[in-house]
Amino acid sequence: MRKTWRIAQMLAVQDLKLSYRRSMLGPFWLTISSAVQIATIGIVFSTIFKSDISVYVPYLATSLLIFTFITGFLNESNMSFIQAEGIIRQMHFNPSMYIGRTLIRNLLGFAHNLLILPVVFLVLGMPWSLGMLMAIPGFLLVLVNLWWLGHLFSLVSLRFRDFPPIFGSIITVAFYLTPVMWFSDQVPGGESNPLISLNPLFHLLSMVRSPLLGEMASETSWVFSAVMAAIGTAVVFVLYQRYQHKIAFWI
Amino acid sequence: MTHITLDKVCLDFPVYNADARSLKSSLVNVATGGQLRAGNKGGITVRALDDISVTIEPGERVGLVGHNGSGKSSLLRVLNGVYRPSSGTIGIDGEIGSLIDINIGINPEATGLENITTCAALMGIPKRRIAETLPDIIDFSELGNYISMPVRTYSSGMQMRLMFSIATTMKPQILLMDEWLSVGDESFVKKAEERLGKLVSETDILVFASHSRETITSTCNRLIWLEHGRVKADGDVRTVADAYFGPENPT
Repeated sequence: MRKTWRIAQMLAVQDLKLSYRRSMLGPFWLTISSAVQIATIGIVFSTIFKSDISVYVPYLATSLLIFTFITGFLNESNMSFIQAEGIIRQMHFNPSMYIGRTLIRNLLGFAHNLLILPVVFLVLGMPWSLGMLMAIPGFLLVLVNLWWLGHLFSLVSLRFRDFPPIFGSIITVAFYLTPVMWFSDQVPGGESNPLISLNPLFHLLSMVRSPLLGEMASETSWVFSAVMAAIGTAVVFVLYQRYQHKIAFWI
Repeated sequence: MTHITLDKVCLDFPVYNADARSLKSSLVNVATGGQLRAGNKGGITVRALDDISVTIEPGERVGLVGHNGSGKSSLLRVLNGVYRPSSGTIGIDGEIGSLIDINIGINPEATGLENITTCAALMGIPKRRIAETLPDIIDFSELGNYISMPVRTYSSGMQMRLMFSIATTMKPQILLMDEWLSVGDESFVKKAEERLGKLVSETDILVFASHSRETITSTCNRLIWLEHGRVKADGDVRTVADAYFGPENPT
């Protein structure tokens, strides 16, 4: 178990290091490009929505960073096994090692991006509160969900090779359907609009975003995320019981 | 005690065509009752190993012979856990080291040093042992200052020497090898032979697939001849080698 994590972590760090090896700023390029994206969308949409920059930009920055982390991980988890073809053909590892590698890699990227938040909050004078700490349990619940989703998507993508592109298009659409750039009260019915209340990405996003913006995540979001985690984990457990030894054949 | 037991082991490979790997086609199939596209549901399987029952005791140096596709590599991959048998049982006592493909996990962008750490960990060589033998690996590979250069700048001979040096630091109880590792470089051959010979002599069990009569007769004390995934002959080297390669010409 410990060995599995050590290898996952080692490969993840290597992945990240190598993708930025030949650039001077390294993974901080991630930080810069996210900052530019937030600044641009922030200026344009706060003008369009006629909302106060000091309200809109912290909201946007928090939303975008968390949403990018979640969807970025989900997208890359499709490739967790496919990418490791060389290893899977030669050696046996616990399949979770490959999902762990993807998760750790994305967490490291997220950590670099996260540097933007305190800057935005300080510059725009957001109030700090102890309630913000509730983002931590919220984030853990998100991770539990990402863990089973990653296991699901990596396996489905391995068996059905047209899944990753299909999933990619769904995620692109989901970005516009989820209140990331816009506020949920801008659609009729607000959070009870099915577009939002049935959107798992919204609930996962809220678990972390709301506390950071000084609100509590709604009870609905907690329940939705917790139930999703429980059912999903059970489904994936059964799925892996049945199919994990097929991974080497499907690769 | 180090020990390998295979009891009636069969291995079936599912063979997928492009259609069976497509989620879209599979869904269309479900919708149309699976009758329209004959032959892609259930799919074809190839029996790579058929009813193999073998027991290997410590001290045995088992050579595997047989034509290409006879199941030698499949058997090695069943032994190291990559493939789970479709039926039959397999019992292994002892730590397995696999030299089936020594290029496992090599990353051309990473430096030689970085590759030593990751590749060795993937091969299951303990961290402490890597740290202890690091100077020896660097020295043995004759890479000098190139060790801190990315592996993509290496010649194929240099890469070979690096991977050979890493792989041969393992100290497994059971060693699996697909063909004798040959290291092209003239000056390197002799000391490589010695090092590999030492590794082989220190293991309790060797399972070794090869096409070369000379290497097999000089290394092994038992020979298994596979044909179409079945054991065609199993016995002492001389008898089986004579049956498989033809009687040795005493001239």
